Amino acid sequence: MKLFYHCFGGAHTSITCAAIHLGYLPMDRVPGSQEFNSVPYYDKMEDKNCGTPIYLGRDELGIDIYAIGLKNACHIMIPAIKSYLNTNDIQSKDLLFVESLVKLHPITGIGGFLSRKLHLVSIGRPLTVWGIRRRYGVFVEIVSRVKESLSGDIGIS
Amino acid sequence: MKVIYYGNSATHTAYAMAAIHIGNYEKGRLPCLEDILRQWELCFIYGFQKGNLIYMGLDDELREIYVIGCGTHGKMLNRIYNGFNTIYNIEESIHFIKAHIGEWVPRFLVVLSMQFPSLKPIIRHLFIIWYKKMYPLWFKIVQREKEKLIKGKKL
Repeated sequence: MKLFYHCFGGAHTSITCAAIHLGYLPMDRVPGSQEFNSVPYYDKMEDKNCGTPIYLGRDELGIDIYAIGLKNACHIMIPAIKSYLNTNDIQSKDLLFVESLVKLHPITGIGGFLSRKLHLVSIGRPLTVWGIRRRYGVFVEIVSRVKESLSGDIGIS
Repeated sequence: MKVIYYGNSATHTAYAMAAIHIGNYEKGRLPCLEDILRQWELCFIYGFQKGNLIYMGLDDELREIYVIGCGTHGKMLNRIYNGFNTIYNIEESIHFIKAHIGEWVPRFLVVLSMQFPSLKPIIRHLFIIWYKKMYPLWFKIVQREKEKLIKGKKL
């Protein structure tokens, strides 16, 4: 089974969720700013590569975890992916998409824009981290719910 | 190989170009009125549907021809499909063809037709005029793309 956390650009919120899922970021506390810098692919996805799925690792249930940016077109792209896989005789039921677009403070969006679009990483990245840390609990909740539902599906308590 | 014609919507230019590619219409000649009207109905019913990869048929070189409506996200779709090819070890290559020329016209006509149903016969006539004007252009693009595919194969 493969699980895709998707967001707008595939650089921040989806990577954060995937990192929490895989244990790169803690679930029981808000991580420090430095911890975000050690998360693989955090604030790295270039706008021109948006849409490329990024493999982040395999979780304890054996599920491959990916992050992907789908802009504001997930309602088009998810069926497009599933229909493409169908044409290749691949069952799309083993594919899970989880939206990780959490409503963040507008400053976070500005940070993302500065970092990814204008390449002002030193200004933009700390702003994204600030915004994500402020609502970190929401990301933990998303991942907890996903993990709970996956454990139920696979039959592991 | 898969050849995917993509546009804002699958039923407008993409559908017409894919139909030319697989040889549904007699070479170089305008399709009959019945065929044009059939596409108008298609635009009318499915014009707003996006994200479905629709199989059209095989061309003369046995390539699979598809159409898809993906809004303005064609380049992203290209990257997504190539990414999934890597994930699932799909070795079959994909050739993307942008089919956007004149697409806004049927979209506008369909909306107009929905707003003013009494004008439907006139709007349908406008669609036929548009189709006849665009057809030679589509035909030329499809021939060019087919040549590209053959050259690519030779290389």
